[in-house]
Amino acid sequence: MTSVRTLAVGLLGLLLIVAGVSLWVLGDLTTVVVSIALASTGFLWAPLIWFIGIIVILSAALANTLPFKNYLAWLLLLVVGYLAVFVILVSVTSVILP
Amino acid sequence: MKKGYDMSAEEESILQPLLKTGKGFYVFVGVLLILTGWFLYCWYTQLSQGLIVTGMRSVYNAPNYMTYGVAEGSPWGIYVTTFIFWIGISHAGIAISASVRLMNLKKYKVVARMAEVLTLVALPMAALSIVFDVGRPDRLFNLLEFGRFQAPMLWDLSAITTYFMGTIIYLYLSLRGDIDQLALRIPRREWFYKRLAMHYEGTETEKERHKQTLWWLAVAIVPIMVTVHSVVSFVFGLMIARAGWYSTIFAIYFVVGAIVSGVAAVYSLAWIFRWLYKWQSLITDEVLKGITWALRNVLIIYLYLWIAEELTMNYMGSSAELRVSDFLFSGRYAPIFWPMVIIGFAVPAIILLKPVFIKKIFNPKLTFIASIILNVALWVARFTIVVPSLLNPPLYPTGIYIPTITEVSIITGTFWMAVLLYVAFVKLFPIIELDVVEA
Repeated sequence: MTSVRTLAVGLLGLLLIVAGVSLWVLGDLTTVVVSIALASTGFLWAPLIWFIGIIVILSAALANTLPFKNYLAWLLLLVVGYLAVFVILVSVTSVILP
Repeated sequence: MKKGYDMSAEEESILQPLLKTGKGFYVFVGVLLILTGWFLYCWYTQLSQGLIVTGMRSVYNAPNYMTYGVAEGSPWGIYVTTFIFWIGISHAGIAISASVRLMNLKKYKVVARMAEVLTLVALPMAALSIVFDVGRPDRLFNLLEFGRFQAPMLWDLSAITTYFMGTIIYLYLSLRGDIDQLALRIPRREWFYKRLAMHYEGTETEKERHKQTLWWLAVAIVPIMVTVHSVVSFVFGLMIARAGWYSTIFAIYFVVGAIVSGVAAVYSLAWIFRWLYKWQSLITDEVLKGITWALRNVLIIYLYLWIAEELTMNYMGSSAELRVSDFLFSGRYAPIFWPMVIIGFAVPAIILLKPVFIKKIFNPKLTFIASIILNVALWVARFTIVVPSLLNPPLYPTGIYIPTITEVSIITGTFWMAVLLYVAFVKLFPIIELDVVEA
Protein backbone atom coordinates (compact mmCIF):
# COMPACT_ATOMS: atom_id res chain seq x y z
CA MET A 1 0.00 0.00 0.00
CA THR A 2 2.80 2.40 0.97
CA SER A 3 4.64 1.68 -2.26
CA VAL A 4 1.50 2.40 -4.31
CA ARG A 5 1.02 5.66 -2.42
CA THR A 6 4.65 6.66 -3.00
CA LEU A 7 4.34 5.85 -6.68
CA ALA A 8 1.10 7.84 -6.95
CA VAL A 9 2.66 10.87 -5.26
CA GLY A 10 5.75 10.60 -7.47
CA LEU A 11 3.61 10.43 -10.61
CA LEU A 12 1.47 13.37 -9.51
CA GLY A 13 4.62 15.42 -8.92
CA LEU A 14 5.99 14.42 -12.32
CA LEU A 15 2.68 15.35 -13.97
CA LEU A 16 2.70 18.78 -12.35
CA ILE A 17 6.32 19.37 -13.38
CA VAL A 18 5.66 18.34 -16.98
CA ALA A 19 2.46 20.42 -17.07
CA GLY A 20 4.19 23.44 -15.55
CA VAL A 21 7.19 23.28 -17.87
CA SER A 22 5.01 22.63 -20.94
CA LEU A 23 2.76 25.59 -20.19
CA TRP A 24 5.79 27.67 -19.40
CA VAL A 25 7.47 26.84 -22.72
CA LEU A 26 4.31 26.91 -24.86
CA GLY A 27 3.20 30.16 -23.32
CA ASP A 28 6.46 31.83 -24.17
CA LEU A 29 7.84 30.71 -27.48
CA THR A 30 9.98 33.76 -28.04
CA THR A 31 13.70 33.29 -27.71
CA VAL A 32 14.27 36.94 -26.88
CA VAL A 33 15.27 37.12 -23.25
CA VAL A 34 15.15 40.86 -22.73
CA SER A 35 13.18 43.90 -23.87
CA ILE A 36 9.69 42.38 -23.74
CA ALA A 37 7.38 43.41 -20.94
CA LEU A 38 7.08 40.53 -18.49
CA ALA A 39 3.32 40.78 -18.27
CA SER A 40 2.87 40.12 -21.97
CA THR A 41 4.70 36.80 -22.02
CA GLY A 42 4.33 33.34 -20.61
CA PHE A 43 1.40 31.33 -19.34
CA LEU A 44 0.25 32.83 -16.07
CA TRP A 45 1.31 30.88 -12.97
CA ALA A 46 3.04 28.15 -15.01
CA PRO A 47 6.21 28.55 -12.88
CA LEU A 48 4.11 28.02 -9.75
CA ILE A 49 2.71 24.74 -11.14
CA TRP A 50 6.27 23.60 -11.80
CA PHE A 51 7.44 24.60 -8.31
CA ILE A 52 4.54 22.78 -6.65
CA GLY A 53 5.37 19.77 -8.83
CA ILE A 54 8.93 19.81 -7.45
CA ILE A 55 7.63 19.88 -3.87
CA VAL A 56 5.14 17.05 -4.54
CA ILE A 57 7.69 14.79 -6.25
CA LEU A 58 10.18 15.26 -3.40
CA SER A 59 7.44 14.58 -0.86
CA ALA A 60 7.24 11.01 -2.22
CA ALA A 61 10.01 10.31 0.31
CA LEU A 62 7.63 11.38 3.09
CA ALA A 63 4.76 9.39 1.60
CA ASN A 64 7.00 6.34 1.74
CA THR A 65 7.69 6.70 5.45
CA LEU A 66 4.85 8.54 7.20
CA PRO A 67 1.24 7.61 8.00
CA PHE A 68 -1.09 9.11 5.36
CA LYS A 69 -2.57 11.87 7.55
CA ASN A 70 0.88 12.95 8.70
CA TYR A 71 2.08 12.92 5.11
CA LEU A 72 -0.76 15.22 4.08
CA ALA A 73 0.05 17.56 6.96
CA TRP A 74 3.69 17.71 5.82
CA LEU A 75 2.75 18.28 2.19
CA LEU A 76 0.41 21.09 3.20
CA LEU A 77 3.11 22.60 5.40
CA LEU A 78 5.67 22.53 2.59
CA VAL A 79 3.38 24.04 -0.04
CA VAL A 80 1.76 26.62 2.25
CA GLY A 81 5.12 27.43 3.87
CA TYR A 82 6.69 28.02 0.45
CA LEU A 83 3.90 30.34 -0.63
CA ALA A 84 3.85 32.01 2.79
CA VAL A 85 7.45 33.17 2.28
CA PHE A 86 6.34 35.06 -0.82
CA VAL A 87 3.17 36.37 0.82
CA ILE A 88 5.03 37.63 3.90
CA LEU A 89 7.82 39.27 1.91
CA VAL A 90 5.41 40.91 -0.51
CA SER A 91 3.03 42.09 2.25
CA VAL A 92 5.72 43.49 4.54
CA THR A 93 7.64 45.24 1.79
CA SER A 94 4.43 46.63 0.24
CA VAL A 95 3.70 48.35 3.53
CA ILE A 96 7.19 49.81 3.87
CA LEU A 97 7.89 50.77 0.26
CA PRO A 98 6.84 54.33 -0.53
CA MET B 1 15.83 12.84 32.32
CA LYS B 2 12.76 10.60 32.52
CA LYS B 3 12.50 8.51 35.65
CA GLY B 4 13.88 5.06 35.06
CA TYR B 5 15.53 5.96 31.80
CA ASP B 6 19.30 5.71 31.89
CA MET B 7 21.39 7.42 29.30
CA SER B 8 24.88 6.31 28.47
CA ALA B 9 27.71 8.79 29.03
CA GLU B 10 28.03 9.29 25.26
CA GLU B 11 24.32 9.97 24.84
CA GLU B 12 24.41 12.43 27.70
CA SER B 13 27.40 14.08 26.10
CA ILE B 14 25.61 14.40 22.72
CA LEU B 15 22.54 15.83 24.43
CA GLN B 16 24.54 18.41 26.44
CA PRO B 17 23.42 21.35 24.27
CA LEU B 18 19.76 20.40 24.88
CA LEU B 19 20.06 19.69 28.58
CA LYS B 20 22.33 22.48 29.82
CA THR B 21 22.09 26.18 29.17
CA GLY B 22 24.61 28.52 30.74
CA LYS B 23 24.62 32.29 31.13
CA GLY B 24 27.04 32.60 28.23
CA PHE B 25 24.40 31.19 25.92
CA TYR B 26 21.88 33.91 26.81
CA VAL B 27 24.50 36.64 26.39
CA PHE B 28 25.47 35.18 23.01
CA VAL B 29 21.86 34.98 21.82
CA GLY B 30 21.16 38.48 23.21
CA VAL B 31 24.05 39.94 21.21
CA LEU B 32 22.86 38.11 18.08
CA LEU B 33 19.33 39.47 18.58
CA ILE B 34 20.62 43.04 18.93
CA LEU B 35 22.69 42.65 15.76
CA THR B 36 19.68 41.16 13.96
CA GLY B 37 17.60 44.13 15.14
CA TRP B 38 20.18 46.52 13.64
CA PHE B 39 20.02 44.53 10.39
CA LEU B 40 16.21 44.85 10.31
CA TYR B 41 16.48 48.61 10.85
CA CYS B 42 18.98 48.92 7.98
CA TRP B 43 16.78 46.85 5.67
CA TYR B 44 13.81 49.01 6.63
CA THR B 45 15.91 52.08 5.75
CA GLN B 46 16.78 50.61 2.37
CA LEU B 47 13.17 49.70 1.64
CA SER B 48 11.76 53.06 2.69
CA GLN B 49 14.45 55.20 1.00
CA GLY B 50 15.33 52.96 -1.92
CA LEU B 51 18.62 51.55 -3.22
CA ILE B 52 20.04 55.06 -3.25
CA VAL B 53 21.25 54.31 0.30
CA THR B 54 23.59 51.66 -1.13
CA GLY B 55 26.91 52.23 -2.82
CA MET B 56 25.72 50.39 -5.91
CA ARG B 57 25.10 53.59 -7.81
CA SER B 58 28.15 55.57 -8.79
CA VAL B 59 28.37 59.34 -8.86
CA TYR B 60 31.44 59.48 -11.04
CA ASN B 61 31.39 60.91 -14.55
CA ALA B 62 27.83 60.21 -15.47
CA PRO B 63 24.66 62.16 -16.05
CA ASN B 64 21.90 61.70 -13.48
CA TYR B 65 19.89 59.14 -15.44
CA MET B 66 22.92 56.87 -15.46
CA THR B 67 23.75 57.05 -11.79
CA TYR B 68 22.24 53.69 -10.98
CA GLY B 69 22.30 50.50 -12.97
CA VAL B 70 24.39 48.83 -15.57
CA ALA B 71 25.83 51.96 -17.12
CA GLU B 72 27.39 53.09 -13.89
CA GLY B 73 28.26 51.52 -10.60
CA SER B 74 27.75 47.90 -9.66
CA PRO B 75 24.05 47.03 -9.41
CA TRP B 76 24.74 43.65 -7.82
CA GLY B 77 27.48 44.59 -5.37
CA ILE B 78 27.90 42.66 -2.15
CA TYR B 79 24.32 41.36 -2.23
CA VAL B 80 24.94 39.03 -5.16
CA THR B 81 28.46 38.33 -3.83
CA THR B 82 26.90 37.10 -0.59
CA PHE B 83 24.23 35.18 -2.50
CA ILE B 84 26.97 33.14 -4.22
CA PHE B 85 28.78 32.75 -0.90
CA TRP B 86 25.72 31.32 0.90
CA ILE B 87 24.93 29.00 -1.98
CA GLY B 88 28.52 27.76 -1.70
CA ILE B 89 28.21 27.20 2.04
CA SER B 90 24.96 25.31 1.52
CA HIS B 91 26.64 23.14 -1.05
CA ALA B 92 28.79 20.81 0.95
CA GLY B 93 26.34 20.48 3.78
CA ILE B 94 23.97 17.98 2.36
CA ALA B 95 26.69 16.73 -0.02
CA ILE B 96 28.79 15.51 2.89
CA SER B 97 25.76 13.91 4.49
CA ALA B 98 24.66 12.27 1.24
CA SER B 99 28.20 11.00 0.60
CA VAL B 100 28.34 9.52 4.11
CA ARG B 101 25.13 7.63 3.35
CA LEU B 102 25.88 6.61 -0.22
CA MET B 103 29.47 5.52 0.39
CA ASN B 104 28.78 4.17 3.86
CA LEU B 105 31.44 6.41 5.44
CA LYS B 106 30.37 5.64 9.01
CA LYS B 107 33.36 7.46 10.49
CA TYR B 108 32.00 10.80 9.27
CA LYS B 109 28.45 10.27 10.51
CA VAL B 110 29.30 12.50 13.49
CA VAL B 111 29.49 15.56 11.22
CA ALA B 112 26.65 14.60 8.87
CA ARG B 113 23.90 16.44 10.73
CA MET B 114 26.05 19.52 11.33
CA ALA B 115 26.44 19.65 7.56
CA GLU B 116 22.73 19.11 6.85
CA VAL B 117 21.68 21.94 9.17
CA LEU B 118 24.28 24.18 7.56
CA THR B 119 22.53 23.70 4.23
CA LEU B 120 19.15 24.37 5.80
CA VAL B 121 20.18 27.74 7.27
CA ALA B 122 22.40 28.83 4.37
CA LEU B 123 19.83 28.48 1.59
CA PRO B 124 17.26 30.97 2.99
CA MET B 125 20.11 33.44 3.55
CA ALA B 126 21.13 33.04 -0.09
CA ALA B 127 17.56 33.70 -1.24
CA LEU B 128 17.29 36.71 1.08
CA SER B 129 20.48 38.21 -0.37
CA ILE B 130 18.71 38.38 -3.74
CA VAL B 131 15.61 39.91 -2.14
CA PHE B 132 17.85 42.69 -0.73
CA ASP B 133 19.20 43.42 -4.18
CA VAL B 134 15.89 43.85 -6.00
CA GLY B 135 14.43 47.32 -5.85
CA ARG B 136 10.82 46.16 -5.59
CA PRO B 137 10.51 42.99 -3.49
CA ASP B 138 6.77 43.69 -3.32
CA ARG B 139 6.65 42.33 -6.87
CA LEU B 140 8.10 38.92 -6.01
CA PHE B 141 4.88 37.21 -7.05
CA ASN B 142 5.78 38.17 -10.62
CA LEU B 143 8.34 35.35 -10.47
CA LEU B 144 5.64 32.77 -9.94
CA GLU B 145 3.13 34.48 -12.21
CA PHE B 146 5.12 35.65 -15.21
CA GLY B 147 8.53 34.00 -14.74
CA ARG B 148 10.33 33.27 -18.01
CA PHE B 149 12.00 29.92 -18.53
CA GLN B 150 14.82 31.51 -20.53
CA ALA B 151 16.00 33.53 -17.55
CA PRO B 152 18.86 31.96 -15.56
CA MET B 153 17.46 33.67 -12.44
CA LEU B 154 14.35 31.48 -12.78
CA TRP B 155 16.56 28.42 -13.11
CA ASP B 156 18.16 29.58 -9.88
CA LEU B 157 14.81 29.81 -8.14
CA SER B 158 13.87 26.33 -9.40
CA ALA B 159 17.17 24.80 -8.30
CA ILE B 160 17.14 26.48 -4.89
CA THR B 161 13.51 25.48 -4.30
CA THR B 162 14.32 21.87 -5.16
CA TYR B 163 17.45 21.82 -3.02
CA PHE B 164 15.77 23.47 -0.04
CA MET B 165 12.72 21.22 -0.09
CA GLY B 166 14.92 18.15 -0.57
CA THR B 167 17.05 19.23 2.39
CA ILE B 168 14.07 19.76 4.70
CA ILE B 169 12.67 16.31 3.86
CA TYR B 170 16.08 14.65 4.10
CA LEU B 171 16.83 16.26 7.45
CA TYR B 172 13.42 15.39 8.89
CA LEU B 173 13.64 11.75 7.87
CA SER B 174 17.17 11.38 9.22
CA LEU B 175 16.07 13.11 12.43
CA ARG B 176 12.76 11.31 13.01
CA GLY B 177 14.18 8.38 14.96
CA ASP B 178 16.16 10.74 17.19
CA ILE B 179 13.09 12.92 17.81
CA ASP B 180 11.24 9.84 19.03
CA GLN B 181 14.14 9.04 21.37
CA LEU B 182 14.18 12.63 22.65
CA ALA B 183 10.58 12.26 23.83
CA LEU B 184 11.87 9.58 26.21
CA ARG B 185 14.99 11.37 27.27
CA ILE B 186 13.65 14.90 27.79
CA PRO B 187 10.17 14.52 29.34
CA ARG B 188 9.56 18.25 29.72
CA ARG B 189 9.47 18.49 25.94
CA GLU B 190 7.72 15.15 25.39
CA TRP B 191 4.58 16.76 23.93
CA PHE B 192 6.58 18.59 21.29
CA TYR B 193 8.80 15.65 20.30
CA LYS B 194 5.97 13.09 20.26
CA ARG B 195 4.00 15.16 17.79
CA LEU B 196 7.01 15.88 15.65
CA ALA B 197 7.99 12.19 15.50
CA MET B 198 4.56 11.52 13.92
CA HIS B 199 3.84 8.03 15.25
CA TYR B 200 7.36 6.73 14.77
CA GLU B 201 7.56 3.28 16.32
CA GLY B 202 11.19 2.40 15.74
CA THR B 203 10.49 -1.12 14.48
CA GLU B 204 13.11 -2.82 12.33
CA THR B 205 10.82 -2.55 9.28
CA GLU B 206 10.36 1.18 9.86
CA LYS B 207 14.08 1.74 10.35
CA GLU B 208 14.84 -0.18 7.15
CA ARG B 209 12.23 1.83 5.24
CA HIS B 210 13.78 5.09 6.47
CA LYS B 211 17.25 3.86 5.54
CA GLN B 212 16.15 2.96 2.01
CA THR B 213 14.23 6.21 1.50
CA LEU B 214 17.16 8.29 2.72
CA TRP B 215 19.48 6.39 0.40
CA TRP B 216 17.30 7.20 -2.61
CA LEU B 217 16.88 10.78 -1.47
CA ALA B 218 20.68 11.06 -1.18
CA VAL B 219 20.97 9.72 -4.75
CA ALA B 220 18.59 12.46 -5.90
CA ILE B 221 20.18 15.23 -3.84
CA VAL B 222 23.76 14.91 -5.13
CA PRO B 223 22.89 15.91 -8.73
CA ILE B 224 20.50 18.59 -7.43
CA MET B 225 23.38 20.03 -5.42
CA VAL B 226 25.64 20.16 -8.49
CA THR B 227 22.79 21.76 -10.45
CA VAL B 228 22.28 24.52 -7.89
CA HIS B 229 25.75 25.94 -8.11
CA SER B 230 26.04 25.32 -11.85
CA VAL B 231 22.87 27.33 -12.34
CA VAL B 232 24.28 30.13 -10.18
CA SER B 233 27.30 30.23 -12.48
CA PHE B 234 25.03 30.44 -15.55
CA VAL B 235 23.77 33.81 -14.31
CA PHE B 236 27.31 34.98 -15.13
CA GLY B 237 28.72 32.44 -17.57
CA LEU B 238 25.99 32.93 -20.18
CA MET B 239 26.40 36.69 -20.29
CA ILE B 240 28.56 37.76 -23.19
CA ALA B 241 28.00 41.46 -22.55
CA ARG B 242 30.19 41.48 -19.44
CA ALA B 243 33.93 41.05 -19.60
CA GLY B 244 35.28 38.18 -17.54
CA TRP B 245 32.06 36.21 -17.23
CA TYR B 246 31.43 34.51 -20.55
CA SER B 247 33.21 31.22 -19.94
CA THR B 248 32.51 27.51 -20.31
CA ILE B 249 34.61 26.74 -17.25
CA PHE B 250 32.39 28.78 -14.91
CA ALA B 251 30.00 25.99 -13.92
CA ILE B 252 32.70 23.60 -12.72
CA TYR B 253 34.69 26.50 -11.26
CA PHE B 254 31.67 27.56 -9.19
CA VAL B 255 30.82 24.00 -8.12
CA VAL B 256 34.39 23.30 -6.95
CA GLY B 257 34.56 26.71 -5.21
CA ALA B 258 31.31 25.88 -3.44
CA ILE B 259 32.65 22.52 -2.29
CA VAL B 260 35.78 24.23 -0.88
CA SER B 261 33.56 26.74 0.89
CA GLY B 262 31.17 24.13 2.28
CA VAL B 263 33.82 21.63 3.39
CA ALA B 264 35.74 24.44 5.11
CA ALA B 265 32.55 25.53 6.89
CA VAL B 266 31.83 21.97 8.04
CA TYR B 267 35.38 21.68 9.38
CA SER B 268 34.98 24.99 11.24
CA LEU B 269 31.69 23.81 12.78
CA ALA B 270 33.08 20.39 13.73
CA TRP B 271 36.05 22.03 15.44
CA ILE B 272 33.87 24.57 17.29
CA PHE B 273 31.51 21.87 18.61
CA ARG B 274 34.41 19.63 19.57
CA TRP B 275 36.05 22.49 21.48
CA LEU B 276 32.81 23.77 23.03
CA TYR B 277 31.43 20.44 24.27
CA LYS B 278 34.71 18.52 24.68
CA TRP B 279 33.69 16.03 22.00
CA GLN B 280 37.23 14.83 21.30
CA SER B 281 36.11 11.20 21.66
CA LEU B 282 33.25 11.72 19.17
CA ILE B 283 34.81 14.09 16.65
CA THR B 284 38.22 12.47 16.68
CA ASP B 285 41.43 13.73 15.09
CA GLU B 286 40.90 11.04 12.43
CA VAL B 287 37.56 12.61 11.45
CA LEU B 288 39.10 16.09 11.26
CA LYS B 289 42.04 14.72 9.27
CA GLY B 290 39.60 13.15 6.81
CA ILE B 291 37.76 16.45 6.29
CA THR B 292 41.12 18.21 5.90
CA TRP B 293 42.14 15.66 3.26
CA ALA B 294 38.97 16.45 1.28
CA LEU B 295 39.44 20.20 1.77
CA ARG B 296 43.04 20.08 0.60
CA ASN B 297 42.19 18.18 -2.56
CA VAL B 298 39.26 20.35 -3.61
CA LEU B 299 41.29 23.48 -2.85
CA ILE B 300 44.04 22.30 -5.21
CA ILE B 301 41.46 21.67 -7.96
CA TYR B 302 39.88 25.09 -7.30
CA LEU B 303 43.22 26.91 -7.53
CA TYR B 304 44.06 25.05 -10.73
CA LEU B 305 40.73 26.09 -12.32
CA TRP B 306 41.21 29.66 -11.13
CA ILE B 307 44.70 29.91 -12.65
CA ALA B 308 43.42 28.38 -15.93
CA GLU B 309 40.59 30.94 -16.03
CA GLU B 310 42.89 33.90 -15.32
CA LEU B 311 45.45 32.74 -17.90
CA THR B 312 42.82 32.31 -20.63
CA MET B 313 41.32 35.70 -19.87
CA ASN B 314 44.64 37.53 -19.89
CA TYR B 315 46.65 35.85 -22.64
CA MET B 316 44.56 37.04 -25.59
CA GLY B 317 41.61 38.63 -23.89
CA SER B 318 39.56 41.51 -25.25
CA SER B 319 40.38 45.02 -24.07
CA ALA B 320 37.46 44.95 -21.62
CA GLU B 321 38.68 41.66 -20.13
CA LEU B 322 42.18 43.05 -19.77
CA ARG B 323 40.68 46.09 -18.03
CA VAL B 324 38.94 43.79 -15.55
CA SER B 325 42.25 42.05 -14.88
CA ASP B 326 44.04 45.38 -14.47
CA PHE B 327 41.39 46.40 -11.96
CA LEU B 328 42.36 43.38 -9.89
CA PHE B 329 46.10 42.99 -10.47
CA SER B 330 47.19 46.60 -10.25
CA GLY B 331 44.08 48.79 -10.14
CA ARG B 332 41.45 49.83 -7.65
CA TYR B 333 40.78 46.36 -6.25
CA ALA B 334 44.43 45.26 -6.02
CA PRO B 335 44.42 46.02 -2.26
CA ILE B 336 41.83 43.30 -1.75
CA PHE B 337 42.93 40.98 -4.57
CA TRP B 338 46.51 40.35 -3.48
CA PRO B 339 45.71 39.79 0.21
CA MET B 340 43.06 37.32 -1.01
CA VAL B 341 45.67 35.46 -3.07
CA ILE B 342 48.45 35.48 -0.48
CA ILE B 343 46.69 35.38 2.90
CA GLY B 344 43.42 33.89 1.70
CA PHE B 345 44.60 31.06 -0.51
CA ALA B 346 48.40 30.60 -0.30
CA VAL B 347 48.60 30.52 3.51
CA PRO B 348 45.70 28.02 4.01
CA ALA B 349 47.10 25.91 1.14
CA ILE B 350 50.46 25.71 2.94
CA ILE B 351 48.75 24.85 6.25
CA LEU B 352 46.66 22.12 4.59
CA LEU B 353 49.53 20.71 2.55
CA LYS B 354 52.02 20.64 5.43
CA PRO B 355 50.90 17.27 6.86
CA VAL B 356 51.42 15.70 3.42
CA PHE B 357 55.13 16.46 3.49
CA ILE B 358 55.87 16.38 7.19
CA LYS B 359 54.11 13.50 8.95
CA LYS B 360 52.45 13.72 12.36
CA ILE B 361 52.11 17.47 12.40
CA PHE B 362 48.38 17.72 11.81
CA ASN B 363 47.22 20.62 13.93
CA PRO B 364 43.40 20.79 14.28
CA LYS B 365 43.43 24.38 15.60
CA LEU B 366 45.66 25.69 12.82
CA THR B 367 43.48 23.91 10.25
CA PHE B 368 40.44 25.54 11.85
CA ILE B 369 42.06 28.96 11.33
CA ALA B 370 42.82 27.97 7.73
CA SER B 371 39.18 26.94 7.17
CA ILE B 372 37.93 30.31 8.42
CA ILE B 373 40.47 32.23 6.31
CA LEU B 374 39.46 30.17 3.28
CA ASN B 375 35.81 31.12 3.63
CA VAL B 376 36.66 34.82 4.00
CA ALA B 377 38.90 34.53 0.92
CA LEU B 378 36.15 32.77 -1.02
CA TRP B 379 33.73 35.61 -0.21
CA VAL B 380 36.31 38.07 -1.54
CA ALA B 381 36.85 35.81 -4.59
CA ARG B 382 33.12 36.04 -5.38
CA PHE B 383 33.36 39.83 -4.96
CA THR B 384 36.18 39.92 -7.50
CA ILE B 385 34.00 37.98 -9.93
CA VAL B 386 30.89 40.14 -9.54
CA VAL B 387 32.06 43.72 -9.10
CA PRO B 388 35.02 44.42 -11.45
CA SER B 389 33.11 43.02 -14.45
CA LEU B 390 30.10 45.22 -13.68
CA LEU B 391 32.36 48.25 -13.39
CA ASN B 392 33.89 47.51 -16.78
CA PRO B 393 31.26 47.41 -19.49
CA PRO B 394 32.66 46.72 -23.00
CA LEU B 395 32.86 50.35 -24.10
CA TYR B 396 34.39 52.21 -21.19
CA PRO B 397 35.29 51.78 -17.53
CA THR B 398 33.04 53.39 -14.95
CA GLY B 399 33.31 54.43 -11.32
CA ILE B 400 34.27 52.49 -8.26
CA TYR B 401 32.01 50.51 -5.98
CA ILE B 402 32.35 50.95 -2.22
CA PRO B 403 29.52 49.40 -0.17
CA THR B 404 27.79 51.64 2.37
CA ILE B 405 27.31 50.85 6.07
CA THR B 406 23.65 50.06 5.31
CA GLU B 407 24.63 47.41 2.78
CA VAL B 408 27.31 45.91 5.02
CA SER B 409 24.87 45.81 7.96
CA ILE B 410 22.23 44.08 5.84
CA ILE B 411 24.69 41.50 4.58
CA THR B 412 26.21 40.81 7.99
CA GLY B 413 22.61 40.46 9.19
CA THR B 414 22.33 37.25 7.17
CA PHE B 415 25.27 35.86 9.16
CA TRP B 416 23.69 36.74 12.52
CA MET B 417 20.38 35.21 11.46
CA ALA B 418 22.10 32.07 10.21
CA VAL B 419 23.90 31.66 13.54
CA LEU B 420 20.64 32.27 15.42
CA LEU B 421 18.82 29.62 13.38
CA TYR B 422 21.68 27.20 13.85
CA VAL B 423 21.75 27.80 17.60
CA ALA B 424 17.96 27.31 17.78
CA PHE B 425 18.34 23.95 16.06
CA VAL B 426 21.16 22.89 18.37
CA LYS B 427 19.01 23.68 21.42
CA LEU B 428 16.08 21.63 20.10
CA PHE B 429 17.66 18.64 18.37
CA PRO B 430 20.89 16.64 18.73
CA ILE B 431 23.54 17.94 16.36
CA ILE B 432 25.14 14.50 16.31
CA GLU B 433 22.97 11.53 15.35
CA LEU B 434 22.14 9.44 18.41
CA ASP B 435 22.82 6.15 16.65
CA VAL B 436 26.47 7.20 16.35
CA VAL B 437 26.71 5.94 19.94
CA GLU B 438 25.35 2.53 18.92
CA ALA B 439 27.79 2.40 16.01
